[in-house]
Amino acid sequence: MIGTILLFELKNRLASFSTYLYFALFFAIAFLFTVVSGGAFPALNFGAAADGKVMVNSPFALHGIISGLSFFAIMIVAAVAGQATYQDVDNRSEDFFYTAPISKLDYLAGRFLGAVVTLLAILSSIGIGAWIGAHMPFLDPTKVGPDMFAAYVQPYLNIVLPNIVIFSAIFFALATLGKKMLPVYAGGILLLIGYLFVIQILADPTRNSLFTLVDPFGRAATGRLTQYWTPFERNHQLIPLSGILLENRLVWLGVAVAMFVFTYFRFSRAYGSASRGKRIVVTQEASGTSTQSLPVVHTVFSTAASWSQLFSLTWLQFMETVKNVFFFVILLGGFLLALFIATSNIDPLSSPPYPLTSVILQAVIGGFGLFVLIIVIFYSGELVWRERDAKVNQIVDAMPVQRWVLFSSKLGALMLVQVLIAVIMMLSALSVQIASGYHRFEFGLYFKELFVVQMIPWWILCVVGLLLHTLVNQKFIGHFAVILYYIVQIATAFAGWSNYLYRFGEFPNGAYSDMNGFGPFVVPRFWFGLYWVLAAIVLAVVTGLLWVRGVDSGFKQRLSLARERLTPATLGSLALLAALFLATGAYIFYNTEILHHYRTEYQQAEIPAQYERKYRSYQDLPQPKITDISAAIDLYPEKRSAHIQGSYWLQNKTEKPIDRVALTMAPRSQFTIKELAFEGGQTPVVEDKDLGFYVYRLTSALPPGQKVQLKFTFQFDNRGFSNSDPNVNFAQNGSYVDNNYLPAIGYLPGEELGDETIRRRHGLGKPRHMATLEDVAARQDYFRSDSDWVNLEATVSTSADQTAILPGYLQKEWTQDGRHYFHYKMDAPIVDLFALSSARYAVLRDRWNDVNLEIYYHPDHQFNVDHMRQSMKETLDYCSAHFSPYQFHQLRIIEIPRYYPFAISFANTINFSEGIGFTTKVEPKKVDSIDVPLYITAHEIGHQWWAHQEAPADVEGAAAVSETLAQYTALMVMQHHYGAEKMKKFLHQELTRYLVQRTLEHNEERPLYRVERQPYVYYEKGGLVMYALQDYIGEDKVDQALADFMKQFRFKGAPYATSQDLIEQLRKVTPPEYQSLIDDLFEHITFYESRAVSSTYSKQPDGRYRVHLATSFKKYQSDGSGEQKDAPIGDWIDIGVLDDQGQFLYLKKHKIERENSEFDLVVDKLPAKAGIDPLNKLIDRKPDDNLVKVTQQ
Amino acid sequence: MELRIEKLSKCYPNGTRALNDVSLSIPLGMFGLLGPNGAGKSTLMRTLATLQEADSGTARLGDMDVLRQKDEIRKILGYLPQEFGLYPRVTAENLLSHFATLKGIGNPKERQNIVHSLLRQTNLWEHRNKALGTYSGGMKQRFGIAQALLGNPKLIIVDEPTAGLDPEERARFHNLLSAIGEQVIVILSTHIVSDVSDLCSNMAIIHEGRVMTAGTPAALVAELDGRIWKRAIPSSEIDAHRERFQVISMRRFSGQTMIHVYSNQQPDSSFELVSPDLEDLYFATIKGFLSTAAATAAKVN
Repeated sequence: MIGTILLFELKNRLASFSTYLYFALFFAIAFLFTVVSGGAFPALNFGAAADGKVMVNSPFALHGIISGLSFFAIMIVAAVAGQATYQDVDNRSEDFFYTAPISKLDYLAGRFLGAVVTLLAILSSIGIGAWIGAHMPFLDPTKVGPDMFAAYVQPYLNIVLPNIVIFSAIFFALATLGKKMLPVYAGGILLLIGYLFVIQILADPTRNSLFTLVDPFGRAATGRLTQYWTPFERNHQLIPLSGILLENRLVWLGVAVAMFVFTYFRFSRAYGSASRGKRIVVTQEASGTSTQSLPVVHTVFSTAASWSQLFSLTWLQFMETVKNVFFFVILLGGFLLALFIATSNIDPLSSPPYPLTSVILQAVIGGFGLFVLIIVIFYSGELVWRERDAKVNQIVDAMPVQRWVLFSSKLGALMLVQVLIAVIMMLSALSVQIASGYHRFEFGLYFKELFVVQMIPWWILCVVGLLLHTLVNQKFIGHFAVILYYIVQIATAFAGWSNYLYRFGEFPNGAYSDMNGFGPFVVPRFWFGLYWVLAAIVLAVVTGLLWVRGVDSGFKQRLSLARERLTPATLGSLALLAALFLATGAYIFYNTEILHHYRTEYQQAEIPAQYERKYRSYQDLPQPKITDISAAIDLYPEKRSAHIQGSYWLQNKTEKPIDRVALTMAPRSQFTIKELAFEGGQTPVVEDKDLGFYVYRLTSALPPGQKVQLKFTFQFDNRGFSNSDPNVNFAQNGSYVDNNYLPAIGYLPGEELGDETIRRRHGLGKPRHMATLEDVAARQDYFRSDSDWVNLEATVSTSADQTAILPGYLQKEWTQDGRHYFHYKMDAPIVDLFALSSARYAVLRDRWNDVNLEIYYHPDHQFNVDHMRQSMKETLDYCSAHFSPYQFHQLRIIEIPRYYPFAISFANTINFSEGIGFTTKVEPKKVDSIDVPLYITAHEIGHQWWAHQEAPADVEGAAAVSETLAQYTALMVMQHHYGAEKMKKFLHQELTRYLVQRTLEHNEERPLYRVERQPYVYYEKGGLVMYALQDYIGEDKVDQALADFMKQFRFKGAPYATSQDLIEQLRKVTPPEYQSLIDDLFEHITFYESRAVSSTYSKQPDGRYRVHLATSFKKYQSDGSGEQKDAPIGDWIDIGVLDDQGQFLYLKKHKIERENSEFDLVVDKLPAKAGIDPLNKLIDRKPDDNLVKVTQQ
Repeated sequence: MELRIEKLSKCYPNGTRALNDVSLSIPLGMFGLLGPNGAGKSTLMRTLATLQEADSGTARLGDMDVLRQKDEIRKILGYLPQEFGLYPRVTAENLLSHFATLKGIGNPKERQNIVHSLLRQTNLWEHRNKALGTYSGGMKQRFGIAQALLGNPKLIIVDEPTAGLDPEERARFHNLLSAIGEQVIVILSTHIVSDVSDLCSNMAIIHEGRVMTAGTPAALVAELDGRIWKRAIPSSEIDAHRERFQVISMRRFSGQTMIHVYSNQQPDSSFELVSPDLEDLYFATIKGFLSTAAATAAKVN
């Protein structure tokens, strides 16, 4: 019997159009995703496999796409599983089935299995689409690995099939017991909301893995299982159904079984088991007395009356939408998620910022974003269908209401819902601010961001929702159409389709900066906003024309009705709107394509590609080096423009005369070169403005040792606006202009594209590697190949109310013609790196010994200024005591807008982004809080030594002798400030970051001493390595080696310092037993796998405790792709025993020579935990299993 | 004022000819549209109520084109569809007041008066503050009537308005309609013959999309004078009688079946002449006996 019911259900589904639609849809998405990420379209940069070295058909990528797409299918699961029994209620055929001689179990199980089989069949389309996609001949062959059938099946076993069963059970229960579909869809939405929570909570890889159990999708467990997988592992290993993933699946399948059993027992086939609300029992009605005639009324059909009808209707529609428990639940979910995101760390690995309005708004908008989408998708359908669903449509449609009133009331109600959401968002942001005792509410910013910047796209989306629902005129497919629209928007954005002139309803995004407000984004947003609003109005009018009124639903009839409705007045206004739209578009086109030049990502990358192809031959042309720089720079912040005039002295440091000088000036929009002239004359050989490369033949060749002056004048005008990424260097308040605006000498290898995949798309070979460590000739200045130590002098002017700052000492400051002038000069040669900052600053001044300390900050950002001053002093103390004296008698920190996600150290001048340090909350009392301002200040000041005294050579490992050493400096300053105990959390986060980021490597991972441009190696791993080293051999020893290394290279020219030189100094102070540790830390990619296996204790007669500990220990070395090999062991590792307070009772290094070791230790107090490498000093991919509970023997 | 319908036709995409060359002229007063289910009544009424497009033909109310000037028609239209629902969470008074706004009654005082008056007359006054989801079928129907009478309609179209009403409610509804039915056009569709005989001054019988006959009920019935015969027979003879006579109707009557037969002459002596009523007209018409009266006479003879 169950088979009959199953078959009936399957036949039913096979006859349903939607089954094929879903199949086709997911097939198409999977296919497209696969071919695009497989590099079928060189211009599109897309998908998991596009990044790095993971193949498009690797087990990891397939697992990602198959399970990832199946998550999106949750609404389909809801529809199919819910319909399994609801169809009988819907078709009013339930009485037939309920009274048929079939058992309850047959009925329920048959229908349930039918749904599961149908869903599995529908979702098999993903795997099929991916398989066919991966076999297309036009894929990039380097993106396709060998075919592994199991890789297609595994995601179905791990994720898809269990999820179908789990979610079907839930929706089946909701529909079967509730006999309604609304709770099913609401349940689907709630699950998606829960899913977002899970993603948020589990984004933090340091969180306890037990949390992965709460995620019914199994995504968190999969993520946790594979978070540290290297490209090699991702390409070769199936994701096993084991460990936390298996536990997760079993727990949730158990829940599914329980749901089904519950459904079975609660399901009743009796009539009327669905509650239908209390009926009025009519007792006695006053019998119809006389029928008086009706009072006379006046009907008015003026325009004013239409408007009042509109308000009445809109309000009714709005209230009907809002007064609804599901809406409330969705809103509450959004509110909670927004609160959650706003209060938790956005980046789980750093400290939270102060709840500045701009910051908290971003968090809240991020949290609510998807809810807005859900609400628009869901309620645009509800609103379009409300009358028809309530069957009141014939009454309302025959009322003397203008069609535009009917339609506009729907749109108005949907738009009002967005306003309500914005109000809720504002309330959640305000409550976060109030709760954290922050009282500077910027209501103006709230208004602009929520009710203008965010609202316009939402409102446009409302129009799209109504349009699609009206066009499709089939509620469920309408929902799908809106979702599809959104998917297309996202997919095209990923595909690099970024021209906002053609991206419906979108306009350029831009960060809000407290310093610079909406700054350069205001003008383009206004024009793009106007443009799309006009388009939306046109579409709204069209929607109104196609609006279904009456009972005709055929598209042909509706078209002819629309033609009838198209009165001359409507046609006229449509034409006018369309003309305005086109005119706005033309104006935008003029700005973005003629005044500026829009380029796709591909076209953008084509510039350096061509530069490389055409001019690489100049890379070996001997060139002079810059020795002196002087400039006069006039900034006009209010116009965001500048005039730059200056000169270089170039010296021939080669042995032969130089007759040709090459200059690179990266092409910039609206930047004109007015003068580029060598003293003594020149003839141009190459003048390529488009690629920014110039070669001049000097009239008389420059003899060795001699100097020549190069004069230059540039004008930067800011006219019109660009499609996106406006020039933010020149800002109304907070300009930051670095020396890349000045010419560079010679061909710059650094301009070449670095990513292998992108290079291949542009027909270029393997990316250039840095010169090898052994290449002595290449040991030139790492920062600028065209200079050594240079003299700098400049006069800068800005508007009267701003301060302009440049590295150097202020010689003179004056005001002239309403402009503020500053003259800066350095008294000693510096590394050729500098930037000009200009803004309205508040200043904090102090002194450290004979050094002037200054912090220039945005007046609203005084939070951490005192703290940073303290850090300046502590770092100056540490470095001058341990390494060498501070070389300047001035040290300044200058705040720059949020556009720059970094802090950067120039000679005696450090620029800090407002998003970093200045607005980070410092909570020194919290155990796991990291003092970001102290840390970053110390790091950047560390660079005054490790970059500005000792300068690295431009070879492999350069960053290991600048960034890694600055990182070490910061770690030591932190350790002295807060104590070693507080370092544990920080180091653990550094470890996690390193392990996560190495999995995203695009080329190949390098050992620290040969690191290239791999921040995760030179920052995170570098810090861990240096910290471990000082732990093993002692901080004083390391500092001694660094002081010697500094002495060797302080202010020295070529050959500059290398990591080899550093290792040499370190080896000198390292005892023989730890020499191999230096190999492991610096010269290999080494992983330690320490694990505490078991531990017991027994009390001795003397009252002490004997602890027995069994450990396992392995060591691996990884190659650049992440393939690991066993390495021989013989290492000194910490063995420790802790009490229940977490204090060490025993901590000593033991030499480990075998994989499995056992220890017998004696401690004074009752032991709680014991283990190997308990402080996670070594790089371990499973840092959580190093400790084990000690149990009584 | 008169509503003139000429050659109205409508064919659904599935091929059903819902309206086939319908021509009618409907004067002031109550007009009954009688026909079985599926005859095309609702299609005709929806077309007149601006909710559906006709394929061809015209309909004019005075100098207004009903099929084109939809907005104008809606201003004077009161429409009660055959099947409708109501927003379950809104109260009767609020929804009626909202409908009054949509009907163009802008003055709040007037709106309140008419709403209250209609709620009283439809006997919903006591339940005016209850959500419509709690209403019984009859109460919903009365609410539907109330909304159709909002705003001085000149053309009232009510599609099967008495379906689901108990006899008392029906009587009240009849009173209500006849009170206003003299100055306006009321088109009432029904398959209950007595609705028409009780209320309507004019009527038409419509069947399979065609107007079979139209006129005043009295005149139409009068045409049947002398042609309707009755006889009581045992149930076993029903089929035999159907073979032989043009049986209009059958009614169970104290163990036997009373049949009415259409015939120009007395079929045989066991039949006795009855004075025809509207029901006889209705069944005779939809069974096609009237148009083929002559042929029938021949067959009988």
